[in-house]
Amino acid sequence: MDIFWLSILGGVVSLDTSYILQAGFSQPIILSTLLGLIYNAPHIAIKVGIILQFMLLNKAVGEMVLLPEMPVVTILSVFWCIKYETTNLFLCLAVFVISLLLGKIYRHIVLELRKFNKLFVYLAEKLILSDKAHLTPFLLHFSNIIFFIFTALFLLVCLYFGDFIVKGMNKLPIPIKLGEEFVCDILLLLGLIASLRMFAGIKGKMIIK
Amino acid sequence: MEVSLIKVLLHSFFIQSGWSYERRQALGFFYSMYPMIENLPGRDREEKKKLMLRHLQYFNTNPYVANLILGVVCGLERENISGEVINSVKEQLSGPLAIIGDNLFFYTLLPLLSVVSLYIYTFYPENFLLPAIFLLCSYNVIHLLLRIVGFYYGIRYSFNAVRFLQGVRLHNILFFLKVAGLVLVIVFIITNILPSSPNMLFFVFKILYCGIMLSLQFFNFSTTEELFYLTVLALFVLNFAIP
Repeated sequence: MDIFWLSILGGVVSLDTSYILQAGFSQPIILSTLLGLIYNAPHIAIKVGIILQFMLLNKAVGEMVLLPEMPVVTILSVFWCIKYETTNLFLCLAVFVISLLLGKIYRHIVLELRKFNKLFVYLAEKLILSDKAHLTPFLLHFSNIIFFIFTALFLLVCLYFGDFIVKGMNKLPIPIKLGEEFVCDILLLLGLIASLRMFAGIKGKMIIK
Repeated sequence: MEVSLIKVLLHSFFIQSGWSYERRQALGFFYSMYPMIENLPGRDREEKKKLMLRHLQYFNTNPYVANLILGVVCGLERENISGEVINSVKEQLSGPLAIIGDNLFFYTLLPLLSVVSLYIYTFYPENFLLPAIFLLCSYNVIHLLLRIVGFYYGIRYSFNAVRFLQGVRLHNILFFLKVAGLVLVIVFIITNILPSSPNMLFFVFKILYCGIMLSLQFFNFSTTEELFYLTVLALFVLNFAIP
């Protein structure tokens, strides 16, 4: 699958996180398994997916619980980790850092983009008042399509230009003394400890009372 | 169930669509209600217009439990209850249900099912599809069931639908799930992550790392993302520090 179709897939999956169904297709474990199957590298993909699952799941920001950048970060990380099929652990870490930073940029743009959704609500009101209520569903689908196109474009740009950075980093002669298993364990520990906080009820403890 | 109500149920999957800061899920809620409003008997065009505008007002709750409110509102609209009462029911239900839904799904079920998926991957690493299939199926069965049952109860029992939630003893279920999650995570760390250290230095690093991360997380000093960057830095330093 080339990066164009991968971007389209990212656009579709990100609709699940933010706008339609919320069935969990964008959860890193699920999405990375799918990418692993597509690129025929399931073991690398699922390892990356599991690390990201705990790191992103427990990274609730403000009011947002499911972060919109989840599928974007997963696709970028899994794609680059598979593409460079690397034993260079620091490239993997760099890929995570780059993906998370790009994900953060994506989140900020998405939050800005959502400000325009109020226009659709006003338009819906106008359509209802002018007896054209049957057109209002199109507004909703139109806002979904805009989000889909934006995500797909963002992913396409990141996959294309980000690749130059990752390729450059792959050539850096960094001596690796830490084992792959150790680095994976540490990253998994970080996510698991974050989920301990979730389970301990620090977030949303109101309801437990 | 009537065709229009089935359409409401299907449209409810779009409740987050068109989310805006001003009115949150207003557009999604209106879109969900639209098939029912169109087919409401005994209402003229103007009444339907007012009704549509009323359902295009501020609404915000967890998408998985929104169906209970949708069901209640559908039931009340069919009984021709006054708009003020319906709006007040919507408002009063959406806040508490949002907290229940977020806490149940995002803070408990999703992390718990992810931990179980991790266990599945650890025990059956060769069956790489299993964790994803488990997570996808279990999560969807639970939320789809809650959406369908919630909608049905909402329509059938209207105001009394909330008693359905009270009867479920959600407090106890959440407590049990959270404790199960805690135990599973701690057991995984103790049995799988700590013993897999190749030498004493790495073992000590892991113990220290656990302690520091736990205290930073629990005292809310920093977010998981900041801790990740800190971790990358620590790994980089460790890589050059070891002989």
